[in-house]
Amino acid sequence: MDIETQTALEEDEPAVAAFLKDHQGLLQRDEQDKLRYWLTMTPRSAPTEEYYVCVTWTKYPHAAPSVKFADSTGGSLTVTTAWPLIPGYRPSSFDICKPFTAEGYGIHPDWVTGPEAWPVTGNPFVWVVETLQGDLDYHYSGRSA
Amino acid sequence: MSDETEQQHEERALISAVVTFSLGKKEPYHHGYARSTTVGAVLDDARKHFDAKDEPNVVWYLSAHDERQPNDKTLEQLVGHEDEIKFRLVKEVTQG
Repeated sequence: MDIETQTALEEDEPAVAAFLKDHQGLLQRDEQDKLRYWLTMTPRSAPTEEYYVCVTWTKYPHAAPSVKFADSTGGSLTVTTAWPLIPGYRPSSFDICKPFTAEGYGIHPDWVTGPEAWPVTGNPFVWVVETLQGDLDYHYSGRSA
Repeated sequence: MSDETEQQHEERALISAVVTFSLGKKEPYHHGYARSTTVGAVLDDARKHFDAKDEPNVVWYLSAHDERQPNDKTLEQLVGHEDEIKFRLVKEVTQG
């Protein structure tokens, strides 16, 4: 991990943990891979449902992270039932086709510029988590089969 | 009621709003608002502060008490008898 990524993640991580705590969630950093975080998140409409999100950075804050859902913290990233049903989230492809993930930008090179461009100001880690929480709260229709 | 007392009353009646923005380059936005002020008015001011422009496929809204707040709600409806409120300015990209 480069020094800038390490410093920026350490600086921005506390605000992410605080945001998740306010939303009945949890942030855990992977013990082996320090670029990887495991988030526990809950939709507002289904407070007993827990989703485990794996966020993996490459160069923070300059590049969007890989975002995938797992069947548990540290668990498998290839289980369709680990995924919520939300427009743009694709359980069968194990990716999120939206302009806040590495997978989304990989599918849509046209998002690299314009309003969908990856933001590098402020705390993009919080923005990613805000976006995930907003999708779970306002665009969620259940768990994938 | 003296002028000074009226002024003090007005100051007490104001609601202190603080808006943070995760992608903001600036410090949080602080302003005192009349209780009848709508969330939409605070949103407009906060967007000016953070230079958050209209863009295609982008929706801006304010979140408070961990949920999205409708623009027509008044600050008094949000805070009741309290005199401060914390918002998050949220940028939602609807593409995807």
